[in-house]
Amino acid sequence: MNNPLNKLTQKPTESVNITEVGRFEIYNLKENPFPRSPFVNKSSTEDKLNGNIFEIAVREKEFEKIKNCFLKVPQANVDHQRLGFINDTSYIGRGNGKSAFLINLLKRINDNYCLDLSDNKNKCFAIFTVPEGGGNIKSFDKFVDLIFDSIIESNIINIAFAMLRLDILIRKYPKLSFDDTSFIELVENLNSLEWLTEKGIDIYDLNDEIKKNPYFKELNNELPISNSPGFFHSISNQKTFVEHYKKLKKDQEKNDFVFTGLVMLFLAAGFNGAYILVDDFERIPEFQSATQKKDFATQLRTILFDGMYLNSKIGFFNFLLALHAGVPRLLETAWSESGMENRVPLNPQTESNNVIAFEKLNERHSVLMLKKYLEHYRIKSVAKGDELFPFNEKSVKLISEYSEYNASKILKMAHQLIDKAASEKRKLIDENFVKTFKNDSKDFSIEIGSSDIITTKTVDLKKKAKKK
Amino acid sequence: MRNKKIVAIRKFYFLEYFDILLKSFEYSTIPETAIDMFIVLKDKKQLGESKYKKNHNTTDYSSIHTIKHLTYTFDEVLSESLDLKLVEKKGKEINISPLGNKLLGISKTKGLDKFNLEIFKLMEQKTNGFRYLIESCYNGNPTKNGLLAFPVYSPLKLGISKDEIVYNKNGLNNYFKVLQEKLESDIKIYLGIDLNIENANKSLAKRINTSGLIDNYNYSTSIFANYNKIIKRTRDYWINYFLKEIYKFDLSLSYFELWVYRSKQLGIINTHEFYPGFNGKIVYPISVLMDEKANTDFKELYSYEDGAKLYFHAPKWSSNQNEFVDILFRSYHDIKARTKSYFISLHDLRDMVCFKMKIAEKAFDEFLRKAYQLNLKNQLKIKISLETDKLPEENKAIYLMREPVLISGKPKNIIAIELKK
Repeated sequence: MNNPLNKLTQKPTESVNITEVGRFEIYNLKENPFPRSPFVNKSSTEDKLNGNIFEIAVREKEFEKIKNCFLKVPQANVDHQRLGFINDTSYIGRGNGKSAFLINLLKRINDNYCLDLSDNKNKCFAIFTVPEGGGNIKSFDKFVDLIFDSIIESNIINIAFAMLRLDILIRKYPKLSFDDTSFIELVENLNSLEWLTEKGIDIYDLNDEIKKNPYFKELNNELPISNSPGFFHSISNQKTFVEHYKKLKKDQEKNDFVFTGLVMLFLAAGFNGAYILVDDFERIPEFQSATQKKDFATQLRTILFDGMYLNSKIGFFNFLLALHAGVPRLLETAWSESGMENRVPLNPQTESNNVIAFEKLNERHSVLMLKKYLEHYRIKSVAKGDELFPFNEKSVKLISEYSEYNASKILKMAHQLIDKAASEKRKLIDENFVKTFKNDSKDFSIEIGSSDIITTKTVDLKKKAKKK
Repeated sequence: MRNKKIVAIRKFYFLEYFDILLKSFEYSTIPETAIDMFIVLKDKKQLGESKYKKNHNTTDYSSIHTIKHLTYTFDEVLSESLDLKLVEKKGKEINISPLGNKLLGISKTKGLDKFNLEIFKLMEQKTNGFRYLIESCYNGNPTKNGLLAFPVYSPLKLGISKDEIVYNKNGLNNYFKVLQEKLESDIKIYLGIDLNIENANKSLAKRINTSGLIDNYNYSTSIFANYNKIIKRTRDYWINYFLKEIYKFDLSLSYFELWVYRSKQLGIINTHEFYPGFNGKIVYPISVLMDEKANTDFKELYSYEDGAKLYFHAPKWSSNQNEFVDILFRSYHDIKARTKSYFISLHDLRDMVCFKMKIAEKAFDEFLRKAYQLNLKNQLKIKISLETDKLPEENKAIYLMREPVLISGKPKNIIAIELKK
């Protein structure tokens, strides 16, 4: 039997070198800064995937137009733009950065609820939503469900209640202290019956105070915010709203709830508007019949402009729909038949305030974008002029050309290049390296002769017809 | 072998013209009035005067030229309809015959495809033209299952610039020479035969030189002015040469085109003018002529007096889905490697898949729709993204050079396919 001590004391003959440098350390990088498959996933925790790394300078033109034509215009002005389109102008597929742009727009708006962007004229929040592919959403009713789901996901109802309650508590319980509490914690506490009772708050009175808000004067049961009958205290929050929404069966009830009830709640909380950012909007009209498209456009018109909803009267919710090139054509007929074209033109040829053209990247943009990713993963900050290291401007230019100036493809190629360079312990990624990579890369290689009309295997009809 | 009646057809491509002519005479028996309806329906169905459909309804009725064109087409369709006894002449009026009425009923109740099939039967009874075409294809290139390739090379494709031809006295002859060599090598590749086409090339050079398009005193100016005409004549000359001398067709190019495009609408012949990786046009049968078939993927279309039958290839989804998805996936990668872009043209993909499977465009559209549905239900190992980006109408050209790919009735233009990870 082996000496049991050996098992504990014996050492391997080879020792690990702990001074070994990291794979990307030679480039002053913590890890490969570029995503392997660059499609934005909002819920990812990795910055290179969730759209967090974003060079706003690349989309300055688009952002400025949204700022000037939407965010800065006072919500109090009933003629403010209520619907806008972010139209992709390049035809080749996806990956131009629309999703990343929308997510950053969402962050920019929500950072200070638009107050900074509008010179304090507007306090607006933004929510982000993307319809599922495959034709799940054909009717407006389903679209309203989608909006409500994303309102829930954004936690904005709890935030609104927190705003309402905090106002009352500061007034009525001046001794309560909220210092050393984070924003998230604060919102959570102000929506927790347990926390409120623990702090000795009179729940019945608190609920009553909320109802006294002038915006709730006109309220006819659209919102579940009254004190509940029975012997137990309860408070309204996002959870109770979800339960309430589930009980609504008719389209009209849902519309009343979202476009009148919720609007009142947000107004009462102190917001004067909201932005609903819809990514990949074409997933809705693509699966709709002509009649469905027309109905959809008509209902959109009703809730935005002509209906009896509070939203139609004041334009609380503003929609920004991101569209692929070619989609306006899909909607054209429905748009003009429902009378929307006169209100909010969709035609990309018309230069109008509500259409934001989303252009293809250029060379300068690619440089800026790669710099931003590299900067995010640098170990030490770099000197001016070295921001692109291990790339240089010429190699970035080539990468962009090979990737047809498509943001997603540029990032993917940069990922592959830096990975290969690291394996080969190469110091620089210059033009030659990019060229060699392109020729070697499987993704780009041309399989010569494979689709030649002579060598292609085709069905021999005469033989097939004879075969049983 | 050739049947003289084969040139009895009139000069229009779309079988749909018969349908709209009958509908026009249903509207009025007076030709001068019926033509108005004919024009309305023609515009509605986007039928062009060429083999391509029209992009927009941009007919300008004020121009004499247009009216002449329209009247010509109307007269041609009327004349062939009289031949087929779909209509009858009574004095100044044209009446729909009982046969015409029967077909009109079919068009209204069973749809245009069934109507076209009836027209096909009438034409075939009179001419045997479709049979001639299919048999000639199979005889033209027996080793490649009747594939007729018509290579076309512009000077630019062969690396010769317009300037080299215009400002260099030997430029045009040089183009002819390079073209000849290229075509000889193509013939070797596509047909497996060594053929010297020098004499034919000389005859082309002679024709162009004596055509009046080239003025030897003002050489460059005349070539510059007539450049496109010269290139087109060269192209047509060689297509004609391939048709008659190599594939042994006893038919002029224009009649050949008419028969091919009419056959394409019936789903018995395919032709692609932009096949990926090939310069020129290809034509191949997607039907067979035999006495009896055994395979259930074929449907009988016509039975001839001598016992032969024409069967068209109509594979069933249930027994061909694996093959279809496999070919679709491979062809996508094939084209992707050429174009180096993630999204590729759906038209290119359709051409390639139709060629490999020998199926009609409509069958492709239907199969792709089914595969796409399965993909949405997560039942395939691949992920298919179909996009509408760039609608056919957004093309600047007047004519739609390729029929739109319709998936569930909606046009799609680009596609990407990837393996699920």
